[in-house]
Amino acid sequence: MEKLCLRHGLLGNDSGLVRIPFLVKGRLMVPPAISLKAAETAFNDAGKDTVWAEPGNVQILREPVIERSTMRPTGEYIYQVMPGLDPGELVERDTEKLADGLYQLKTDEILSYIECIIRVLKKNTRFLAGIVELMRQTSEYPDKFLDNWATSVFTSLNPSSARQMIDSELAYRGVAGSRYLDGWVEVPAAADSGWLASQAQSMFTAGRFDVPGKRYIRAMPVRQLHITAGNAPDVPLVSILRAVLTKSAAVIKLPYGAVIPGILFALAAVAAAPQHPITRNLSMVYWQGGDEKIEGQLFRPGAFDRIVVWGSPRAVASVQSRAAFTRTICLNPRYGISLIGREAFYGRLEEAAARASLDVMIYNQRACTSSLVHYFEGTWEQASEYARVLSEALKKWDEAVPNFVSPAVSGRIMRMRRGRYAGAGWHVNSTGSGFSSGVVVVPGAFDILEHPMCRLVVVKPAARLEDALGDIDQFVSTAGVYPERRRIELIEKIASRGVSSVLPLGQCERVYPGMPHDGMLVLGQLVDWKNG
Amino acid sequence: MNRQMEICQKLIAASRGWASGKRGALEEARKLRRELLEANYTRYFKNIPLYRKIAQEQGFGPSAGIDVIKQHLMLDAGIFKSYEQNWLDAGDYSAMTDWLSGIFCHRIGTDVSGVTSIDDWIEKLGQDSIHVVYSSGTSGAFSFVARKRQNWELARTANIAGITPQILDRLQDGFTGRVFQSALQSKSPQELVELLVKRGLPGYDGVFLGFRQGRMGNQALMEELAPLFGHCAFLYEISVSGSGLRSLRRGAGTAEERLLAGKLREEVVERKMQNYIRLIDFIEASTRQGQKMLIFGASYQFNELLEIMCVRKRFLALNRGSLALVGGGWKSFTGEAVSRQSLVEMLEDKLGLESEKIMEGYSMTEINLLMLRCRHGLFHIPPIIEPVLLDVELNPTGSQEGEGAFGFMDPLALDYPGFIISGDYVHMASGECRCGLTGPAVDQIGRMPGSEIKGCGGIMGSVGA
Repeated sequence: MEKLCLRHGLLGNDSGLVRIPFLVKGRLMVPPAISLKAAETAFNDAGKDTVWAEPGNVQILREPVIERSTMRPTGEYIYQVMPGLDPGELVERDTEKLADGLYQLKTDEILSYIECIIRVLKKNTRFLAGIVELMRQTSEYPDKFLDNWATSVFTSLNPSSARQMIDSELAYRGVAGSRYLDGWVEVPAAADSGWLASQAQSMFTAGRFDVPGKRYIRAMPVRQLHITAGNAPDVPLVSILRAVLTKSAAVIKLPYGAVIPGILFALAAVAAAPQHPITRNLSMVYWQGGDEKIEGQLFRPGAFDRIVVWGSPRAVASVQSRAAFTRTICLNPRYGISLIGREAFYGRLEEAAARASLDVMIYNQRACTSSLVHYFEGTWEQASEYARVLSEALKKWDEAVPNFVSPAVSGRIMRMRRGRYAGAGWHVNSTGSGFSSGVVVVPGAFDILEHPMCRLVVVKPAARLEDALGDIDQFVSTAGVYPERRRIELIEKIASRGVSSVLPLGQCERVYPGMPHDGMLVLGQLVDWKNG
Repeated sequence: MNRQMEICQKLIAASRGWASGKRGALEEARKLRRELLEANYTRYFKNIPLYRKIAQEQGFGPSAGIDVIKQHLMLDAGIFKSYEQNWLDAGDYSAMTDWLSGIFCHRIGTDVSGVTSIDDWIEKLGQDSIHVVYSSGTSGAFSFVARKRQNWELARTANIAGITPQILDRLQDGFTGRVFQSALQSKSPQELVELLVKRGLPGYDGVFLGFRQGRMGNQALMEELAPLFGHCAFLYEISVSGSGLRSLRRGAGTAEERLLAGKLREEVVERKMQNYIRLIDFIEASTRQGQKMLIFGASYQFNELLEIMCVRKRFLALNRGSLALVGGGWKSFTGEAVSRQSLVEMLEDKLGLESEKIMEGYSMTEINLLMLRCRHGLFHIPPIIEPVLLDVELNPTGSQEGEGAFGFMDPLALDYPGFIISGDYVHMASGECRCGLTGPAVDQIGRMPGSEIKGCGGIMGSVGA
């Protein structure tokens, strides 16, 4: 990987310029040479919030540099230089080639491929450490999150976990998923020969028509387009893994803010197994979301069999409306909540707050499982006391894992405090540079779209936990409940309102291979179930 | 209070002078404005409970200098919707009144028992000389701003004093223009208002692309303007119902709300075509009688009017001197934007309006003044207002040029906190304009990322969407 990068001048910070390649069907595409001055010029007439420019045959992403000691933007930028994109190159139309090649791979071969990738990554740990340093310069995540992400890459790409994912998410009628992925599996149930067959038997003498035949099922791979989100660096990797495990001729659109994590996999694939059918059918690219000249071709009926879209409500709605004829799997923007029973108030408030803070801290409140709103069973005064104790817990997190609050988010929180939520009860932790975390007790309704998702917890008092059920809908992905007895009591009621996970408070981050995601076994959605 | 009223009057006079192209008193106006703003801060601190809470939470007492206020004590416009939506859902107007009291300089003792709609509530408060106007964004959460009747009158005087010279500048050829040009030289702002109310605008008929009555954004202005015309017509001959409008956005909770929403929908959606045709008939008749027109509405409504004229093959050529005033923004809640350029071209083409006579206003419920776009594309800010440009962290940029969140300090806001950061993201310019006006001006208006779309152009457009 390191040699590849040195040869092409990739993934190094050259005075603010970082060259990033694309992977297009196994071929590494490197960006054309461009000077820092030219990159800066491309943003000359753009507003401060503009992050993308396309001067000619090159794409540039602009990310603000963050000073790690203060976690404040320095006012400088890093320009990620990427190649231009021809969407026609991404679409695979040769289905025969796929049927004879990629689709014939066995699960063991997929797992060997993953092992191969892991081996290369392990050989390049020094290089990886350099990449983490590069990401650190602009990452809005605290340093410890990034360090943890770097180590979690190895556990995410674990062949044994991968097999568990395949075997459980594609399992059917008690048969492990890998068998359906590897080929046709006989279904024990005999199919009824049907009325036509028995009628035919009385009409024709040549042959038997009413003998029930054997039936087979196969999980056939499909061509996938994954439009990923940058709220967590894991997201591109999760999408890549799902595409690889289902033997897809896949295109992964990497997100702003997490292009590098995806490209790492691409580099590892090229370094480890450049001729492997998986590599040769994998593309990892970037384009500006909504770019009609790209998406017009990719969303065209027949270009892909599945589109997986993660992202903001606007992004998801936009893809859904324009790709009406392609089966779209939406990993909708959702959020987590916590429900804390009045039992906490009897000597266990600190414990409940500490547990709750774990769910708040999941990807710094930016993952769809992160807890944004806490319902506290009790009076306004009791909820305020909980808020105070929770803010103390968050303060400890601020000290251990210093937060980054972007200027825009800082402004939004200020607006909340001096505007619509001025009358609420605020418990704010600050550092020298401003807001670091906080808890606000809101008496009435809270518009979740106004949540800044940056270690700010909205506490809503509820006379009974059951009163919170009225606020719960399918946009809530995860609910952490305390204590356990109350979770057991409420689990059916919460789950029936559309919530995907109802877990013990403080355990909402935990995942395992084969775990349902957004109410789905996602791998099962990423294959076509064929009858044979 | 006497000193504050005295400064208000002086600022209004200075604003009229500024609008007439005089520059002498601007520095004096700046000093007076700042004196009044600091006095207003103390007034808010002492009399507005929520403002006091915010100031105290940040460690400030009853007095603060202008720079401290800009940095720490300006409020987000969301303060005017800091009530709980379920109070309106449940018809708890007693709670709403208490909340309104909390952002108002006077305690409100109005008995609101028996009130079941926003409209009745506003009516009741009006009986106690409390004038409430409202606006809405995409969420359907209304902002309510309350003023004492006296404060409302003051704002009206300030608007007439400041806007009249700018409009007269475009009406130089008419009799009406000459009469008011002369009055502008010789009369005080208050006398000018009295003259205007007494004489009206002879030779002009008014067409309002809105409701006959109502307290929402543009609507409130229409209600003020309408009496100036001998004849006027409204697109909707009913009063706009706040409860009805809110129910259309958020769903009706009661039978009364369903009824109000249904009535509104019927008028705005089902009878839309008839209503526009009635207006076209009115314009045609007035024009035939030699009257000039002033047509006031939101951009999308002008679009609708022109579209219906085309479909029905009705061609109007307004008499020379006719005016159009566009207000309420260019974007609807459904995200469709009307192009200013194409609308102006269509108004010229289909109504025979001269481009000079097509005006655009910029204002919001929380500010007391309307800013008119000059012929060079700038919304000039009268010297009454202290504009504050803020960066994304809400720090004042210290400049009146460049881009940022648009904040303003409105010294005429005697009854409610007038140090406001709007949801508009603007570009400002400063200096002398070729139109003759000077000082800070807004030349581009957008919305802050994450802010809902607001404005009369949006909400009424969304009813039919």
